[in-house]
Order: sequence, then C-alpha cells, then structure tokens
Amino acid sequence: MNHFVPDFEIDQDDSIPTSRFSHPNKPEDELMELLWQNGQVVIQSQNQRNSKKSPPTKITPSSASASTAVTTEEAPPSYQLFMQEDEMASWLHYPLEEDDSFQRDFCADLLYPTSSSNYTHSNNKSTTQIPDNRRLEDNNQYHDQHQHLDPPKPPIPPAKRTELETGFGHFRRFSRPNGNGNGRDVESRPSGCDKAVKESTVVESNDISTVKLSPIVSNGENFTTGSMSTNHDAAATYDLTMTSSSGGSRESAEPSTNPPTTNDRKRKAGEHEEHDDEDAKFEAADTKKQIRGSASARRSRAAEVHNLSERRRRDRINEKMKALQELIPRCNKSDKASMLDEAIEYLKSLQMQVQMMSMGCSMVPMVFPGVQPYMSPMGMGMGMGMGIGMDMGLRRPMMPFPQVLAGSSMPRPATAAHLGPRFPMPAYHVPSGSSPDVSAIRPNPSDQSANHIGIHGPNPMQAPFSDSYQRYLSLYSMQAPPGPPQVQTNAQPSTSKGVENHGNQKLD
Amino acid sequence: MSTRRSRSRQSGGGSSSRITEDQINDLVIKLQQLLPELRHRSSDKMSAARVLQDTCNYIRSLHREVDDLSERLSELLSTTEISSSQAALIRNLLLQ
Repeated sequence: MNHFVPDFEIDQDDSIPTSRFSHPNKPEDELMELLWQNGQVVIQSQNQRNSKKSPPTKITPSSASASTAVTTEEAPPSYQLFMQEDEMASWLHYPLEEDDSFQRDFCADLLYPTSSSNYTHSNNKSTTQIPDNRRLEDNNQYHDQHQHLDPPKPPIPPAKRTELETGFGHFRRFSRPNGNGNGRDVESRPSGCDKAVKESTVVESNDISTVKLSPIVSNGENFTTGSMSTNHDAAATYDLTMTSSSGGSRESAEPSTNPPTTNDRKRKAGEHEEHDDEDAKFEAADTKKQIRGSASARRSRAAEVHNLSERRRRDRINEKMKALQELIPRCNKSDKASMLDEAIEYLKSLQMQVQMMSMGCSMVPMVFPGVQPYMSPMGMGMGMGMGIGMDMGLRRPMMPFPQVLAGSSMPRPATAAHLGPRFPMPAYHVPSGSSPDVSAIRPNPSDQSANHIGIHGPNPMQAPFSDSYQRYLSLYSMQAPPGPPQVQTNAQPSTSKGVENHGNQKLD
Repeated sequence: MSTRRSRSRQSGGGSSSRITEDQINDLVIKLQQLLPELRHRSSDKMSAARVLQDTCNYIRSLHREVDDLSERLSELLSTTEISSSQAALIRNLLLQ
C-alpha cells in the first residue's frame, strides 16, 4: 500500500493540472471552488441516491474513460453524507473565508469524504451496505486498484476527472504543504491512519472526537507539522463529525466542521494515500453510521412516542389509583396489586352495606305498622274504618276508597278526632312519606330481611303487616277515615314523631 | 440507549414485574365486574384507567347511597317501634 500510495499521489499530481489544483497558492479561491464542488457532489449524490447505479449526470458526463466512469460511480454514495456537509459548508463558509487554514480544512473534509466515497463506490458499486470491515478491506484493495487505475487517469483531461480529481486535487493541495512539512508522515500515516480510522469508526465516539477536534482546530499549526496522532484523531473526528452531520444534527456538525479545517492542514502536509484510505474508511463508516443513525433515529422516535403514550397511560392509571386509594378507608397499601385488592374488597363490602341498608330501610317500615297503609290488608282495614272516618269526616269525608290505599291517605284527623290526640295519624304518615322508596326496595330484600331479622312467618312482608295492622285495628278499633289530603301528610312529619313515639309505645 | 435500557430493564425486571402486571390486570377485570355500568360491556375494551375512574365514581355513588340509607334508617329507627334485638340488628347493618 505504502509503495503504491506515493506513486498514486504522483500520478494524480501529474495527471491533474486542473485549474483548481493549479492554484495551490490561493487557498481561499480554491476553498471556494471546493465548496462548490461539494455542492455539485451533493447534487450528484442525491441523483445517485434516487438511482444509485445511474452515473451522476452533471459530473460524470465528461468522464469518457473507464477510470472516470468508475470515479463517478464511486462518488455518489459518499456524497449522501456530504449533502448535509454541504449545508455545513454553507454554515461554515464565512468562518472559512476568514481563515484560510479553516477553509482548507473544510475543503479537505469535504474532499476527503468525497474521495473516500469514490473509492468505496468504485469497489462496491452495487453493495453499498457492506459491513464496515469489508468496506475497509475493500477500500484498501481499492486503493491498490486505484493506484493501478490511476495511471490511465492522468492522460484523461482534468475536466473528466470530476470527483476523483477534485478529491485528489484537494489532497494535492494539502500534499504540497505536507510535502513541505512532513513527507515521511504521509508515508507512515497510512497504516496508522487506517488503524485509527477503523478504531474510530468502531468506537463511534462522536463526543470525544468532536472535543478533540475543537482543540485541534485551535492548534491548526501543530497539525501542519503532521504528527501522526493528530492526524488520526482528526480523521476520527472527521468521521464522527460526518456521521453526526449526516444524522441531521447540525449542531454537532458545526463544531465538527471547524475541526476538519485542522485536519485539512494536516492533510495538506499529509498524503493522498492516507487521505484516501482514511476517507474511504470514513465514508464507509459514515454511510453505515448514517444508515444506522436513520434507522435508529426512526426507532428511537417511535420508541419515544410509544414511551410518551405509555407514560401518559401510566400516569393516568396512577392518578386514578391515588383517587381510588383516597376513597378507600384504611388503605395503606403502597402496592398497586394489594391496593386494587383492597379496593375490590371495599367495593364488595360497600355493595353489601348498601344492600343491607336498603333491606333495613324496607325492614323498618315492615316492622313499623305505619308503613302498611298501602298494603291490601290496610286497605281492607281502612275500608272497615271508613264508616267512622266518614262520620268524623273532618276534611274530606267523601274520599274515595281507592285513595285509602295510598299510604299518605291515612286519616289522621279522623283518628285524632276519634281516638284522641294520642294517636294522631301523622305518626304513620312519617313512615308513609318514605314508603314509596321502601316499596321500591322491598321486593328484593324482603325475603332476606325476614331471614336476617328473624321475622316470623314464611311471608315476612305480610306477617308483620298483618300483625301490626291487626294490632292497630284492635287498639284503635278503627277507623277507616277518608284520607286527609296529602298536603297534610307531608306537613305532619315534624309533629308526628313525638306522637308516633306515644303510639309506638302503646303498640308495643 | 434509553429505550434499550428500559427494554432491558423490563425484560430483566422479568418475572416479578410481569406477574404484578398480570395480577393488576386480573384485579382490574375483577373490579370491572363489580361495576354495574361496566359489567355487561365487553370487558376487553375497557382501559384500566377507565375502569379505575368508574370504580371511583361508583364508590362515591355507593357512599352517597349509604349516607342516604343510613339517614333514612336512623330516621326510621327513631320513629319506629322496633324490638331491641331488631334495632340492634339494624344498627349493626348501619355500622357496617
């Protein structure tokens, strides 16, 4: 490799007398051109992305020779990454223009990836997704091939050598200063650089690389000296930066762009071979990283969305859990399962309680004779007493019998008149007021209530009623007074209680 | 990384967390069957949050009902002639 590399560089230099490269002395102009090339390259890469195998239209057309065709094909994949880089370049333009060294670095960065992409593509035209290791190997092989191929290139006119030439030309530019500074570095670097590149790609420590880059940028001159370590770091940083930029995070890309400039200086001092190898590796790594990044980004986004919805759902559930916990007395359980258990038990007990209470409500009126009025026996009894009530008929003597059936129609005035103040009917009215509810509840719980309370008789409903009613009748001998208006019954309850107690006592 | 970690945690958290999740699901289903409103619906459609919410509402309504009933019962007890044993029974019911 090393042997070929120097040759390759020489060939390129010889073959590429292009105007761009011919102006090594004017770094700024060259830099500007390079940026443009990058933009073009980017365009090509887009086209190629759409149809990877289709050669880039603009750049390639000039390539009549086989070598040019290879170069054209090679370029596209790497440029996918560069697309973002172009944006980066636009971002960086101004700072680059300010500092020549920085501009060079930029160009070098852009060019290097391009060159590397070219290599990779030439080697793996059809297989873009080949593993990194394979690519690296391929790249190395390709370097050899390129070296072989390079000789034909030189004869080709500069215009035809679009991408490769540009890449090489950049290298040349760099190579010139490098040659001035460190010739041996170039030779020695390739192996070390390759290793470093591989390592960097494997590690993919973007942060570290970026960090390293920033200081490197600050010390651009040091890089020009062409220390191997710095170059490796720079290359690694390039890769990392490239990947980050490709990932779409421009923030990371901006800092990365600055470091590349430092790398460029090194490269200036450095060698085409090294750059090519590094670039190829980097590009391969970048492309792979990009692919990974996009896929992982999508995955991560989906995962984030999923996590968000899941979190919301859990928050909602937890919220309800807390609310539920507050509703449950004596629930100290922090565990969800036990808390839910508690809630279930509590719910059951609550339901039981409500049932029992409704039964109790039904029981009480059942036990209490006053509720009975609407019962059929009462109706009969009422009918019996009606005559008297009618006689007494204080309020509505003409009450029809059916009304007697209504619980509220109990003849309080009649009874009062008849039996005296002691047994005012209102006492019965109080329960009667609640009777409708009781009646509603009654059907179900009646049997149970009978069992619980131990009310005698198979028909608890009727038994107490009949008994109480009979008692009632017997005690009061009674009264079937036409029911007083319901209005009275409603108004009565307050007074009725005291009276009721009397009545109850007597009943007992 | 975070997702991987969470996944690994979930998978690593393993059997115990899974069991509790299943337990909770079972409990929620049980709870749902106690709710008259949701009992007859297709149980699978209900989300746990919905079941819990309805449970809270149902418990509140039960509390209200209990309050009403207890009030009415106390009123009845105060007004009715009930044997001491019966009254004790009813009071026990109320105190439940």
